[in-house]
Amino acid sequence: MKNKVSIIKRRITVVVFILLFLVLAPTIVFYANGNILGEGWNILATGGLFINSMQPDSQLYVNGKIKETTGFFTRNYLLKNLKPGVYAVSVKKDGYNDWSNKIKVFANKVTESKVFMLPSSIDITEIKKSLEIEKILSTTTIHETKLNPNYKIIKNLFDEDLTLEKYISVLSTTTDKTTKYAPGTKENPIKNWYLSIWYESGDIYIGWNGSANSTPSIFWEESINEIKFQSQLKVYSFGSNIVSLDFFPGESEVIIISVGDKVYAVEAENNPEKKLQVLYSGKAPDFRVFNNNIYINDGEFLGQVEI
Amino acid sequence: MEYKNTPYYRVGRATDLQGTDWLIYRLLEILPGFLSWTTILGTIIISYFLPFWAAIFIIVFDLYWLLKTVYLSIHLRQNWKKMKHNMNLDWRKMLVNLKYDHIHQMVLLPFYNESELVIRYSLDSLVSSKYDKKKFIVILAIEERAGQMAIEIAEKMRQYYATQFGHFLITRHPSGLSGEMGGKGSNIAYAAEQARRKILDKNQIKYEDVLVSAFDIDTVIYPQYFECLTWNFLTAEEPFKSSFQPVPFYHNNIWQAPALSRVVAVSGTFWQMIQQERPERLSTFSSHSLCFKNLFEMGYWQKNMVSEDSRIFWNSFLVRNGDYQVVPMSYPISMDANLDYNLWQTIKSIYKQQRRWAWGVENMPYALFGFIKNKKIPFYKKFRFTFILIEGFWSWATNPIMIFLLGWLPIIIGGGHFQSTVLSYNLPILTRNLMILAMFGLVTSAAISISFLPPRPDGISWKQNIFMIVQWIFVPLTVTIFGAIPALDAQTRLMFGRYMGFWVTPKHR
Repeated sequence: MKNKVSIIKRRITVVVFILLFLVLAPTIVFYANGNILGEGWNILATGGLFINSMQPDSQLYVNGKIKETTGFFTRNYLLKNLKPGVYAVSVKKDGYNDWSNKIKVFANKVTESKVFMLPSSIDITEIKKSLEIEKILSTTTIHETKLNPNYKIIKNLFDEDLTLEKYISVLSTTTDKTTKYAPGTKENPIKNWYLSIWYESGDIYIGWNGSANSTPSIFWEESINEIKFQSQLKVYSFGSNIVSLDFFPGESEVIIISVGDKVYAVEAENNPEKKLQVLYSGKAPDFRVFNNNIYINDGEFLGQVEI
Repeated sequence: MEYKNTPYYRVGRATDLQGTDWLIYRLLEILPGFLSWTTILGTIIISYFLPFWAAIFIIVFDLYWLLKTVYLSIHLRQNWKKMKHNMNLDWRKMLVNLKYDHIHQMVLLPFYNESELVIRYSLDSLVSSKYDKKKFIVILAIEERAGQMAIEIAEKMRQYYATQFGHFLITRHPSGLSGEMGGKGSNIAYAAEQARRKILDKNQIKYEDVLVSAFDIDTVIYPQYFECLTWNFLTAEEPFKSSFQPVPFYHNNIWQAPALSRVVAVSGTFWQMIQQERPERLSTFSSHSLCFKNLFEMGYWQKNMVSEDSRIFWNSFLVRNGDYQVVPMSYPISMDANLDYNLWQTIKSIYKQQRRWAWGVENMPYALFGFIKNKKIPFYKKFRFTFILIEGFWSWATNPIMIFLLGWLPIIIGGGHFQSTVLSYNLPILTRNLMILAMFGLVTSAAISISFLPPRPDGISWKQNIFMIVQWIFVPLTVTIFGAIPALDAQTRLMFGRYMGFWVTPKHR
């Protein structure tokens, strides 16, 4: 009898677990895909925002309301169950430029946005042409002036007659060595994996050369309900002659541009309200990215950006 | 008994058959590996081409796994209560109202090259049994190929122990007999037949009065094992159509074995405890007992394959047209956890032992082929066991890999389009949360395993108590490396017809 009771109990348990599975499986999949039940039991397809690479101790605001204060280990924030639409996102931190963006949220998609904030005050270390060396002899100390070898290398990067061959000899890589070094034109864009950037008539462009399946969200078209991809995007219009541009070291979607009397950093995204962040302000500066560092040349001044 | 007279009854592998039978059997050998590899490779392929559907499959699979874990934990807890009760029960009192004086206990102890210490440990436990020793028929079954050393050890055991039991017999299984594979099955089958001729027939002991316990050489009984076995035999609905299955503990050297070995060993115990609560799924495993009458009618254990312990159940099930069962004893016996000369050797031994156990998959084609051939087995029994076998071996080889390795695959290889979906962001969160919930079961596991632990021997640091709890963090590792991978290894070998031989687990103390 005891065994029969046990069998009945076990069969009931099996049925309960099967029912649980049948109810929970579609429910979890439904919510996991970003769907929620709205008013009147209507199914609402929602999207999300993923804000990442925030500085520690910064405040994240979405549509003017604070959502998160980041810590050392919590620099990313996922905001789910958002109705499709445009959201004003801003991040603030003392000592840094504010970051703000209008981000589009699509149904069943998560729009990822990487926060790029430069310090309000950026230090530039001058690279001197010559170095003064102190030599201690047996009875006296003498000062000797010696040419700074780094100065020559960096200065060469700004040479107007710099050919690709010369440039490559500095970088120690091998490609076409005969073309004149003039990266950043449409014919000779600067590449970073599948991304390429160039300028044309005062406008900055970024292009995607990878597969459509892997297209970064910055190339998504504006339509809220249906996502289409574009292969290139106008990042910013300066309306004046651009001297140089390059990718920001370590950031595939941030571009550095020297134009007029400033060097700027600008995020590559489809946002007309985007702000430029000033890296350097001078007379007629130019810059180069070399060994993951940014170097500024402004007349006689040669310096390295400390970031 | 019709099935016993067919050429399929003693089939060990497809090559033992011919024509269409060979083809069917061969396809059934391919089936488990095919299903497991299809699942794993299919998950990888759809993760790349259809990451959305792969993610949904993984979420549903994670949920299935969580519910299954909870479901099995309920059974584990239930059996734990039963085991505790049975271990504290005075089984002699249980036998008071039953006539059992006529029941003899035949104990088969096969050994190959194990040390004297290991054998003494097992025999001492038999001596300490409270069951009437005059009713004991102890068979020390040695292998001829083990050489002179084995004979000398056996003779030493005879001198010391023979007078303590009703009967004591040393058998020497000849090597290289036709139609046999070297291993436990052929050895104990030979020993049982020798015992029949030299002891049972000679002393006119009825076959139905003899309970045979086929142990490993390291099997150490708990004091009232034979009382518990006798009670189960005498109260079983169909005692001559039943095998009796104790729960294998691996406590002989549990305090000396490394953490990985302990976790694998205790996981094996838990699985058997869970199965004891689901007797309709139970087949015999490792040390088990059955009536000599049934054993003789079946022609003893099969000699041409590795996993004779489970095969004797399938032999009986097919011959009895499905009218055969395993009675769960919910009472322990103890064996050795894997322990070799050093950690690396121990790890290799664990893997090889698990692969040998997983080679039990060779019983799947045997059973399914028998279901096709034997029309007298009720359909529902065929259907149920087919599902149990396929689901069991498939889960063993695939579930840990699916849960711990492939769960993140759509995110990694699913491409940027999928990576930007809400589903892609929710997949790791859901998988993680479901796994955390499932891991709560480990707390129960740790508590249950500690409740059964033997006292800590002298010379073992008290810190080992802490490791006995902490060791459970290794479970994701052990179920994959010492669970799924050896199972997949065994199934792949069977799939390609690379049949395994018997591997003797080293026993060191």
